[in-house]
Amino acid sequence: MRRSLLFMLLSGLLGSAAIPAAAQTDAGANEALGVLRIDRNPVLLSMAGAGSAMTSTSQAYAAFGNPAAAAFSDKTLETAVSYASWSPHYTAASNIAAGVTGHLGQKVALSLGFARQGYQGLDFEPASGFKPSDMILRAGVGFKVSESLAIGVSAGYAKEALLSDYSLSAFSVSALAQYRIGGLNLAGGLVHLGGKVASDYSLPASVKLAADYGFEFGSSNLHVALDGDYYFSGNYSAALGLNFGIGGIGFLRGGYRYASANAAIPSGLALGAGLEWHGISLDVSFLTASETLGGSWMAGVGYRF
Amino acid sequence: MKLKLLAFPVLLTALVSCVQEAPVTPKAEPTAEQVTESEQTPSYVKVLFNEQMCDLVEEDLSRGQVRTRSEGLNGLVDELGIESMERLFPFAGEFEPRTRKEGLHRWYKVRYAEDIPLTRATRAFESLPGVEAVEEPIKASLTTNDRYWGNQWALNNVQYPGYDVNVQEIWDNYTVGNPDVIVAVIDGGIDLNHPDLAWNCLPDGHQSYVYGADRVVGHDHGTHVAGTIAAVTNNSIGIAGIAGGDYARGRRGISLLSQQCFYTIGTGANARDRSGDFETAIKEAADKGALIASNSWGYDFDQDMDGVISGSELASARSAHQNVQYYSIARAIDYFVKYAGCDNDGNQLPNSLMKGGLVVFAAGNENIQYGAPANYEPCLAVGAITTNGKRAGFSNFGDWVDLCAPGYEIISTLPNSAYYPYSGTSMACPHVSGVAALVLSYFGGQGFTVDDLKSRLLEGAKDIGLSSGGRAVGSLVDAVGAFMAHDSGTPEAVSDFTVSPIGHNLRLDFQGGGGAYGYMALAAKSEEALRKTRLTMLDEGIEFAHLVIGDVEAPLEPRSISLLSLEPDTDYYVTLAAYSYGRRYSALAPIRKVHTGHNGKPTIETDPGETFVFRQYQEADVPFTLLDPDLDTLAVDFQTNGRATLKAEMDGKWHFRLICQAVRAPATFQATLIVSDRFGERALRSFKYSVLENVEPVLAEQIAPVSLNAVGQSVDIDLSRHFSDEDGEPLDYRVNSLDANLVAAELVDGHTLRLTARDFGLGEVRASVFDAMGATVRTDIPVLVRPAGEKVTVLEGRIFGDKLTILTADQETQTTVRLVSASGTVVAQASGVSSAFNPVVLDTGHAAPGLYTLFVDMGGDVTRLSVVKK
Repeated sequence: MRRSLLFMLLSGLLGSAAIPAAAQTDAGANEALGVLRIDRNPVLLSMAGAGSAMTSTSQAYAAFGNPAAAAFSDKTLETAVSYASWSPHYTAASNIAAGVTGHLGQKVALSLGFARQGYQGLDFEPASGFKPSDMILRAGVGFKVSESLAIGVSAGYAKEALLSDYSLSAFSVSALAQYRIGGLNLAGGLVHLGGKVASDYSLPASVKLAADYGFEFGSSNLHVALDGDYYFSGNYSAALGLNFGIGGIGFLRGGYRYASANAAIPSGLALGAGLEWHGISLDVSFLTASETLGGSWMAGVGYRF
Repeated sequence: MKLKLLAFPVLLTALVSCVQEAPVTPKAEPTAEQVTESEQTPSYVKVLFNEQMCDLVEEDLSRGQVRTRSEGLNGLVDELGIESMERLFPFAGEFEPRTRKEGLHRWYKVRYAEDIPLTRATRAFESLPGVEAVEEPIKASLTTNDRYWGNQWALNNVQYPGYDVNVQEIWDNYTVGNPDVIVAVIDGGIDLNHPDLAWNCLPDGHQSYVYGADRVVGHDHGTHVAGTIAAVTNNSIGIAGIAGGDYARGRRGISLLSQQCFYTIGTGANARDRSGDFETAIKEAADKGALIASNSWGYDFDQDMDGVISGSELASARSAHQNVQYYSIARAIDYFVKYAGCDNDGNQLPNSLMKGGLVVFAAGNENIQYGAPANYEPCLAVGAITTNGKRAGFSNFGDWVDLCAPGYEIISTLPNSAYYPYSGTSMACPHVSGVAALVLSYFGGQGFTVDDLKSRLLEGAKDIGLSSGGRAVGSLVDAVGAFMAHDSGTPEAVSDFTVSPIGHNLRLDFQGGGGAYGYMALAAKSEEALRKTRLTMLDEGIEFAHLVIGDVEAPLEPRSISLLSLEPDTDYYVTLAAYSYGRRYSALAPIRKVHTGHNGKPTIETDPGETFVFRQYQEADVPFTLLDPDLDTLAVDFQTNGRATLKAEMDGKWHFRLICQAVRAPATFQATLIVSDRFGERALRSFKYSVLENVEPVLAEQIAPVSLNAVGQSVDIDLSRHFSDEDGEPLDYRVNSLDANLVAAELVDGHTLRLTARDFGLGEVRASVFDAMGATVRTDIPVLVRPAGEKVTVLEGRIFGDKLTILTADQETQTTVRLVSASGTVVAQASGVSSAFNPVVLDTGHAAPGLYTLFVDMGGDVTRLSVVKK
């Protein structure tokens, strides 16, 4: 009550002296649990979020992304873990993620994923020792309908512990289909559909379209990937990424993402590299040219066979 | 250099011994109702800060805090449990400028927790940067050397003639004291109601400087000392004081001021004396107008209380003797010697009888060659002699002892109408103070200095064979000797003179100089009255005037003296007498008869030109000149149909200032100045004055927003520096807090706004000013309370809703603010010039619940705060 009174006082006191609202961000609708849209796969993060339709890379994180693409994988089991320093100049979060995708026969792929984002302790709540965190648990299944078409569904639970006595949580479902012809992969669907959070705020749900095309140069190849999302909140984003494979062992990656002002993940440039040898992969990514995400980096290891 | 005054427990003792017989009247101890007291003496040390530290402490303490911005001192607050710090020499009002000039404001009395050992507290302060000296408190005790009942041989020694203070001739021929001479008794309290003292005690101003004793209470020692100085003489009871007046003839003696520094607590065998702040008592005695400070006390080194000073005790006495000039008591003595009878610049006040003050100290009763603080050079140190003119066996000695005086079996006053003989240098000291008071009573006036007084006392003292040798106590103080010191002998009488009436004044012309120090002209209506009067003590009805030549070597040449304000048209008999430095008068010149002239009428001269024009409440000089041909004292009256007042001051000539009062509308008024002399002759002058329309007060200088850093912290704002009124009238200041939960606002000393933080946040205080006509102006002052070092304050707190109000730096700064979600989205941002009092307000209504980072960049100084939207 006292703070409210103070604010009322201040409004009267300062009036037009305050920085005018016109100078502020044009505030469109803002979604809750934006952390759902953070890439947990260092390969995709290296391409600024593009590459959802790629099938040549590990599908260990399919539960977080496109479970339909996993159905086209010819591996038996794909696993990976990653660590990220997220938005070190702002949020300063530490992210860990783990994913596993198993294939049943030639048509079905099952995926599980877990992610946790941890923050520094709250300086205004030092006595409790509480530290905010986010937790995401997801599972997905992909089914290859034909050699060209697959569909996939994932569902998950996310919880954001904000204060020692206050948290948010939500369930979300994603459903995508993937079609491939020659070196071209096309994917599309709905991502993170779910109920309202805190009664008024929606999840960062979107309609997603993605494409990937691979060029072969002897033992090397180049994948060009494009992902676009139109959020139900009115925001949108598009990412273009390149993945250059050298002799099937080394990879150089890059991408740029453009996003509307209030999109869950802002615009920025991504760079990355990777190694894969006998199913063991090591990938790193780095974000730059972004006011809030610049300096973020992620590293991950995986194994698939 | 840091000084530790006392490396050992030093006791203070009143230097007294008393005989064994019971008092003439039984003593009565003070009752619990008489004073408020605490048995527990608080623990404290006296600390001398350097200028820098003192400024810091002074400023912080003015806000009512024990904690200051000195980290070291704050550390001691916790370590020693410091409860209070206060000036040893308190704020002195009109005398504050000279108090500060002498550095006395830098001495502080610091009280700390009772369970902290004194040595620990002393060491802690000694190691504190910014501390120049630390002194441990002085404790008091009384020591007595009991002797036998006697009488007042000190004033008139019949058994051993010559060994007294030789005062009778002074009483008979010169003076019995002057009420304008104030003698401060720095001692136990004087019994102000004692029938042999009350007549000579000041009506007010007496003060206690003892913790727990809130007023002056009669004390054996202090009352005894006071009686020696100024017990009422010739009143048929008790004893005669040296400067006690003449009750039978209606002449009051000097005035006694009790500066109580001893106070007895307990009764009977449990009685003991508590001592007070001697330094403060001496210093403030000067501020109260005292010219002589009588100190019958000194340091006691008898730690084992065996009555003998030996070994380490003697070493301690020697150390104090050698270092007394560094002690706080020395600073107080310096102040008294320099400023008694003077203004803040050390110039003699017009009504003061002496420039500077005399400090008299008892030498001490330990029979040793040391005696701090009596040996401090500016003081007169007094040793004691016995009835037959020998050094009293208990008296301290040495070439530092300036004078001796009777100090053996001295009978004097005690509380409750009692009398009792005491022995000690405590008793010798007031004999010197009393003789000094007589000298000052007679010779004091403009130009008379403390050096003149000391010179008379020392030069006039009688050598009784004790002023040299191994155990010297100086020469015996002698009142007649002091009066006759430097005297050149009786001058020759004036053989002839002429007298001329000028109005009702008389002018005497004669040949003067050539050996006379001065001349006194006398006039009376009866020739017989002139012939019969004693020139040293003139009878009633004798008019007189002096001409001081001041130089006995001056040549004989024409001189004149005027006798003023005699009665007009009256026969007078007139004569002249020359006198020496010691007031030895010549025979009278031939007496002449003369008739005074008519009384002249006073006149008022002015050239006001047009009507005087004033603003509301303006105070300005008006050019009136008063003339009286007879130089009579004039009375001034002023009448007007307006509300102005006329302030008339006489400073050699008359000065007039007209002070206008507020009027509702511009108007012109009639006024009349009326002047009359003592014979009823009058002069009138009428004039007009106009008062202009009222000008409203204005806010001349905007009051800057106030930032406070702690709950309880205060700051003062002198509103008179911000508001002004062209009319110059007195303004009525009013203040009120618009958010009393955050900040309290009160008005102190009429125009100073004191703000005190009650909670963290941003509030507002309103200051209004009204002039005499009710015209007003007001301003609202933003007040921010936030912890020191906090650069960014979120007014709503860190759990916010639809808005975020961000208070940035105290000063206006280019600022960028971003609210960033956990995923990295900039949810809201703003940039521009902001400050704590011009905050950034972000609309966060659209932001989803979650964890956010509030990024605030104030010209490169970046602050990040975690905030939560619920």
